[in-house]
Amino acid sequence: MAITVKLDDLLHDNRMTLSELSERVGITLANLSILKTGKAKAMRFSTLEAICRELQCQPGDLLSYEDGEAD
Amino acid sequence: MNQTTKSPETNDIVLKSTRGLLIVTKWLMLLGVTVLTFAIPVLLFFSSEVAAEMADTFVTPPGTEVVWMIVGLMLLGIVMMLLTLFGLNRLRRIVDSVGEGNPFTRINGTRLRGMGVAAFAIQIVTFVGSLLASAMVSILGEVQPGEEFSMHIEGGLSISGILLVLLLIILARVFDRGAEMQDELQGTV
Repeated sequence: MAITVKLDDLLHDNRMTLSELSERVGITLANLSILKTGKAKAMRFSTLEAICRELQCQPGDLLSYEDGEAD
Repeated sequence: MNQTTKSPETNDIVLKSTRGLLIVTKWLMLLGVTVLTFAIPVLLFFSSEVAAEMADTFVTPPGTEVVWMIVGLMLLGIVMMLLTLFGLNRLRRIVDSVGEGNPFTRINGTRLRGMGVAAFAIQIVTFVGSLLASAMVSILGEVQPGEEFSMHIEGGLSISGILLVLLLIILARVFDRGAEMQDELQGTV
């Protein structure tokens, strides 16, 4: 997909593990892994909001668009 | 995401009674197919006796072609029951998937389409059967005085049957779309 999720970088910057984030945002570890590995097809605004709140970032910090990688 | 445990729907009274009804109907159909399958060779074996019995009842003694028409009707009956079994089997699988809490799958769309095709084939078989039965009654002709014979022919293409076919095909499309939406939902975080 042309949209890349930069969750790994943000977790590293915030010194937080995926399971910690999972507990804080109330989303299962399995779902966050899907998001992290770029396998998610869509993302709810509520998920985006919770991640941005906990990782102190903007949606643009979490997602990026790269041309020419679309399915 | 993926549902691993069975939902309370499994114990739903409607699902349970539907499963029970489907099992009873399945065994009735199997019994019908078995009886007719054995009855056809028996009828052919005793065809001259059957023709002689009919000669006592009707003014014009019918020939062996009437026995063959009866065999034809029995064969159509077998085909109809097998088509019903085909549809019932698919319906049972759909009911099971509802019980598991995951009915919106592509395979259920395919199953419904198969049921639609089976329902259409049943309409055709019924229509052919009614034509054959009408032809047989006209060949048999008038009944001898003092003898009783009545045959009520009900068949042909029914509006409700055609509506059922259309309903099943439309429902198959609904399930196809439902499966697409389910895929999207499963990929949503």
